[in-house]
Amino acid sequence: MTTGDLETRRRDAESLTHASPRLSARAGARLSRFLVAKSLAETLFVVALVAHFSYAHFNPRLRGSLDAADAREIAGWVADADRPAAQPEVELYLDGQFVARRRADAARADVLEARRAASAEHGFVFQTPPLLPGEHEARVFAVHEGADLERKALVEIGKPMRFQVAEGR
Amino acid sequence: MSGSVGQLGDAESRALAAWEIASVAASVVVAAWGVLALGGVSRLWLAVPVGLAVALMIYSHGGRGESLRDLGWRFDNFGRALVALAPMMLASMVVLAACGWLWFGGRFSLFGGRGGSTLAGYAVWGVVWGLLQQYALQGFINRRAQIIFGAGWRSILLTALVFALLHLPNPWLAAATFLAGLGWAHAYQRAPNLFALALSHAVLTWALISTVPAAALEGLRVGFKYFG
Repeated sequence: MTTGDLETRRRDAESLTHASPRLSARAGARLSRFLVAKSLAETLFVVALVAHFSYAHFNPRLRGSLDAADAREIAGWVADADRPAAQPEVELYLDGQFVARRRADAARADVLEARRAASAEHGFVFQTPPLLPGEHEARVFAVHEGADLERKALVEIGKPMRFQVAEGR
Repeated sequence: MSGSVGQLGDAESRALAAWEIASVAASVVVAAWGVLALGGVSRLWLAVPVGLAVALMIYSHGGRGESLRDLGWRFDNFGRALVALAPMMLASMVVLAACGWLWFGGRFSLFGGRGGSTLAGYAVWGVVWGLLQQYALQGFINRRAQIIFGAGWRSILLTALVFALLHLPNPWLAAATFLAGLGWAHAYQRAPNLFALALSHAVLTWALISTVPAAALEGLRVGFKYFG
């Protein structure tokens, strides 16, 4: 083993001794404060990330209503306050099962009169499919495309509506 | 305070080192599970947790008086570090080749990794990425683990465990990184040299992706991206 090798090994040993340098109390307190600040900054960052994600993917500016549901049809309207001219797609679910999808482009003069959309063509009407007699639940969701176009989210329109289908229909 | 006047006691020093390891690991978790899941296509969000982790490591090195040389940014022990790494690398490559041959039919794909399809592209990507990972893993976590447990198998085990846990939920990659992490942490404690470790990291990653099909490794994806 050469003198150079011995010197390198001595320096390595020194480096490893340095793996456990004793911190002064003041440096330890500063490092602790830094760790607390980093934790807070990261927590705020995660909150901002979640808020950004929620806004981008679960558009809170979608407005609409499920107005009617019976054995013949299910109807309502939907509009995006951020994009008043857009006609969102809507999906109908009956008793938790997907039934149909269509664009909300049916005329609804009352929606225009109430200034909830840029035009009257924001309504939707689904023909109710044949159902067994008894009570059923209808739910309608607007399809919201995320800002990054990577994800789509379903945003429920209005509240679920229950309706009865009579015998013999 | 149980140490001498003006110094942290052993228990406090260990607790602080553990907190530092946890904090850097938390940044990686935020990046791999939070940003990649919620940040959409913009990778700029990654700059926040990565920047905070790097800031902590630099601040901590300064506070503890660690020099670049202490951390392993040096060349004088490069050869000795390679010698320390050689047995582990040879064994790993033989095991990987055997696994690739026996389980996956020996359909080796030599240049199918990231950094393009050329050997030079892969080499640059592999060494740079390896250097960054080895700096965080050995230059920071291994050294803090030594503050907690001292040099030896316990700090080596902790370093490898942290490395493997950060590769979850990819089970095969977590297992591979645990084994490789043991070897790297052991070699670092014998001859701290980040350049040799980066080279080893690049070579072993290349061996892994060349011998084991991407489907079995889920494309080396970790965190939320593992699920597609």
